[in-house]
Amino acid sequence: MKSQEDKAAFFAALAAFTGIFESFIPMPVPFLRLGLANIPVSMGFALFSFRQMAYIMGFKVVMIHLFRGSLFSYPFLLALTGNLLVLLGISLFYRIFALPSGDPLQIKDQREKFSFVSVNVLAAFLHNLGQIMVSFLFLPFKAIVYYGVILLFLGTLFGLINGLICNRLYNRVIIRIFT
Amino acid sequence: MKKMTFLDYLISGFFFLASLAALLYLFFFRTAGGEHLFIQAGDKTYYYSLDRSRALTIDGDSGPVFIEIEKDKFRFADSSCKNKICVHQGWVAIEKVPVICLPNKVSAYIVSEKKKKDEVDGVSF
Repeated sequence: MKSQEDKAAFFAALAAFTGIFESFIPMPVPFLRLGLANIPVSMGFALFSFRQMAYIMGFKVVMIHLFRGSLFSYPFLLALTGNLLVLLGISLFYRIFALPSGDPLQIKDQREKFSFVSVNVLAAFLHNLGQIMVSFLFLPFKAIVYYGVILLFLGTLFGLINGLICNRLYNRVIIRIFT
Repeated sequence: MKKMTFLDYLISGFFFLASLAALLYLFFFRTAGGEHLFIQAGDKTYYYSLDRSRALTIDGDSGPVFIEIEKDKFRFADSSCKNKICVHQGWVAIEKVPVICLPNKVSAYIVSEKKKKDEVDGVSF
């Protein structure tokens, strides 16, 4: 994998695969996911441009919902909004706290004031927030608030765990493969 | 090299504590009293007592939703939606934990009797 486009395609495939794999893991609360697909996505923010991240996340959402048989349905709309909010929010977060660089693995990494824990916790919050906002269009306020509070708490918890996994994976695997 | 930084502790700590506080506030400061099932289907609202077993059929946006009530708990037994996420949620006995069928725009959750009078202007059964 020489070019950034090749690497982006690899991350998109990885995100789609982990997302589809995750669909087979039963959860006690519906709509709740472990966020395994967000591990390659959040690492991607440290490696790729905004345009490449839009491609990775778009590909991930379409492929996951294609496999689940829910393409262009309500869950797809929720996921699309959540991912769009994550893309905009985390890109803005990187713009504020990390210096842009042509060689992200070498330069951006050293100047960052945060690790993937912040990225994952924020992404989980933004993703759930996007979903909750869209749900207000279809469902009564109270049901969504009750549901949203459960989702936001568990999302933060899983975001924290995924962030720690991302830090380890990035230090031990990604840096070695992609540099 | 990625390591936890001060900003990581600040952000994750803030979101964890804020979401935990919201969770505790909503679910653990419950009002005492008899429990009812509140169902909303589109613009229609329904109330059912949870003191005896019964089977309900609620008309949703894309077809019927079948709800089963047993002593102090309920579940979506079947639904006309495709993914049946609501059906897979199973029995719910905890107050305020909603079951939602998004395609049918049907939601249901348990409320206390006291809150029933305050909040809902619907049909009682």
